[in-house]
Amino acid sequence: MVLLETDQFLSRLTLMFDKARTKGHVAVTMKRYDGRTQPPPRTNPRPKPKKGQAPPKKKEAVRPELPPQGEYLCLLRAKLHHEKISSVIPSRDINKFQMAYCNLLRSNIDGLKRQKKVKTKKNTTD
Amino acid sequence: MEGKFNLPSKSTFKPRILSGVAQFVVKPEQARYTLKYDHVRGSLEMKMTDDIVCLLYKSDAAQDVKKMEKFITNLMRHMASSEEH
Repeated sequence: MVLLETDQFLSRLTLMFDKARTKGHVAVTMKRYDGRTQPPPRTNPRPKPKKGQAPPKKKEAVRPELPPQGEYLCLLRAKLHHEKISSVIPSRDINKFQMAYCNLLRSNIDGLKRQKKVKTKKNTTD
Repeated sequence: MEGKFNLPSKSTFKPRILSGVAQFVVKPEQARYTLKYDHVRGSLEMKMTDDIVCLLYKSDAAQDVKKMEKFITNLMRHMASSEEH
């Protein structure tokens, strides 16, 4: 998974949509991201060893608690075949990104059926 | 996991939007949204799940793209906002 800047992500996503015109599908996943790069520390203490068993070796250091996250981000991942890209969008860039992303979707998702307008015949009564 | 992932949807788009955003509000950390587009088949699939409930909407109509844009705009604002839900 390659982490890209937003502009790069959009251009790579456009390429993905172009490639998928002949074969395959593009999947774009979106979720909230709090900026953590490691899982939250374990809260439950480890179980005590039973009698007769050797105590566990003290190798692991206690991980410090992560600082609280003030700002939330938006994480986007895109996949086509085995190619995966991702990007993180901060809240200050959301508006700009949204416009570009929606334009991209509108121009690339063009293989769907268009609704035919049903012509209503006027009642001509003589 | 209790979600049923391959159930085709029969409901309309509007209730899906509302329940999708509501799902994010309930579990913002787990909730994720996936958009899958297949140009060859001409199908669009939208999925929102929090590992317990899974909402799926499949479509082949071009008019749903506009609705999807609105949904994405709304959801992305929720995701990036600093407010605790």
